[in-house]
Amino acid sequence: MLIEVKNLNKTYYSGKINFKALNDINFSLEKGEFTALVGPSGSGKTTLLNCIGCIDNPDNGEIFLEGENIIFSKPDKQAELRRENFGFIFQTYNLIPVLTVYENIELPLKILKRYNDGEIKKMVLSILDEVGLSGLDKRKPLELSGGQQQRVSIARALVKKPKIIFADEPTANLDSATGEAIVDLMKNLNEKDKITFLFSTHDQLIMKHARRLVHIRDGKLSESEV
Amino acid sequence: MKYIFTIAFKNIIAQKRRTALTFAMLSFGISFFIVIYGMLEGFDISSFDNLIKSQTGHLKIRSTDFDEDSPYDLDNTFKFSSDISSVLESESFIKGYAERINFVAEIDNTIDSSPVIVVGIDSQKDKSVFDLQDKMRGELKPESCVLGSVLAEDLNLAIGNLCYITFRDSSGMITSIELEITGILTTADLVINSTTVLININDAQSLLNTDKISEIAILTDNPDKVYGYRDILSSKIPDRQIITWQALAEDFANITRTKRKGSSVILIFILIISMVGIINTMIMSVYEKKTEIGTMKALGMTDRQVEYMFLFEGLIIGISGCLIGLFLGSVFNFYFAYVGVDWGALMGAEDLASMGFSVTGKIKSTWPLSAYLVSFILSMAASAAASFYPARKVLKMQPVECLRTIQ
Repeated sequence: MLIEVKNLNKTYYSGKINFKALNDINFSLEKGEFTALVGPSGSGKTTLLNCIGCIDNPDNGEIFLEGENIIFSKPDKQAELRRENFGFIFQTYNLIPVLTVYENIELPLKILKRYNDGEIKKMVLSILDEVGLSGLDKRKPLELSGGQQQRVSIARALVKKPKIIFADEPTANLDSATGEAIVDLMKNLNEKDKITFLFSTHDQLIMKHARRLVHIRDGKLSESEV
Repeated sequence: MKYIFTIAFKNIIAQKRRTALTFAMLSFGISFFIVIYGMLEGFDISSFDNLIKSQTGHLKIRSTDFDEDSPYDLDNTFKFSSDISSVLESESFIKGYAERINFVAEIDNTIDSSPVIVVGIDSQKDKSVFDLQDKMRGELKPESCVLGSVLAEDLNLAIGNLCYITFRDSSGMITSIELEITGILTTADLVINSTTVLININDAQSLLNTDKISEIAILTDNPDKVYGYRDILSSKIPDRQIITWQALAEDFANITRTKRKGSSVILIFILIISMVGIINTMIMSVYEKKTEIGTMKALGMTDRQVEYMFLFEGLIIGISGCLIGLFLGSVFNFYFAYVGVDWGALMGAEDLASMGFSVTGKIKSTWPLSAYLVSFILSMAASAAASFYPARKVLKMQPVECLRTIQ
């Protein structure tokens, strides 16, 4: 088992109003899955994704990655965990605007400090080819279309071969044709490289392609196999 | 670390207008600081130089029981013996010496009167120590006098007029004499211009009925070695007091120091205001990049690595702005240091004197190394602090909090 979540709770506090985003969540994910967390806005899908991805802290509960509890209190330990194991794809792409496509994709490898410049170049050019962006490596993110930016974002998440990629509404800002191409790309990568994907989405297109749908409503889970 | 530096550098380049404005503010502040600091040091050096050339010389020989409270009292006089003369003639470091006699008198033009200090000088020997005669219109002749320019103006006297000087001689007798004015003296020193009357030393001794003198002023070959020269002379002329120009100018030096401190505080404030530009740029930069910070943290960057990125950004701005400022300051200062400016002609020597600067002619600025050092240290410290504080604030947030700004 790649991910196991036990009794996860998260409440947001805003003045006198408390909002329970995750309510005693139990959930697991196997290696190689292509799973979508689905539900209406405010249902808690992004919060669950963020907690599993260690970019947000739950109030209580446990999260295991390959059997190891990954609820750490120290930010550096969390950073190390994300660096070594996770990739992120964001709804708004979140590319670094001052860096070129090439530099954006090599950034996780530079942070990882595991490869030399020659190896990094090979890996970046290979992933650029894989996501269909060969020849655009010197462009800045703002010189690309939304679909191309999301491809860069996917390449950035993928380049270090993470154990799991968290994709938060990856098609929400794209038109349906571009969105479909992006989903196809991610599905191919999942099938070919056995990369595990966990989405949060309410896009029917992703739901159609996902092999497993995990429904979330008012912070509680229900599940259906596709 | 190289890629963190690269991102920091690219962040600066990306914000061309803001970076240019910050550089301009910082560079202006630093160049202004250096030019003004160098100028003020130049004024001080010139003021001390004028003081030496018009009042103190490098060393003075005075009576052992010289009364500082009544410096113009005839009780302070002593005999210029042949022993002293032979010592002064024998020492090779002495480039010139001149004996003087000073006393208090009252000058009048038959209508108005004014208290003055009469200085009896030997025209020829005085030139070897002081430059008063270079600043004199007309010349000092026997049985005549030269008046300070302000004094002459106040009493409406000019060259060729007669004036009346009243004083007590060595026996206490009140004496009044009529003298023709043969010269007007305009120095950088307001006190000399408004209170001094020069007469021939032989005339002064004759009028005072004495053969003594008040002091012997000495010009040496090196003003920095005066303490050593003082000791040599003290051992050879034990019955007289030998005083350095630093001791004679102590009050002036204290005023200069106080003035310098005041100016330094104002200049440092200007420097700090220009550094607020960096602080503003860095705060804006950090808050604008909240989402990028969240992304970088999500990619696995540690808080320290993100912090370094902003620290580099601030330091690049600080170092570059500082270096540009130091360069521009040096370029401007080059003119002021090597060509100089006649501030007296521009602003009026008396106005400058009233501000505490006894200067005439072209004033050359210095190369103020301390100002360079202060500018560099302050801009580094401001840049580091400006980057550190806002970055710290953002870094305390969870990555998701940074990302939430646009999602």
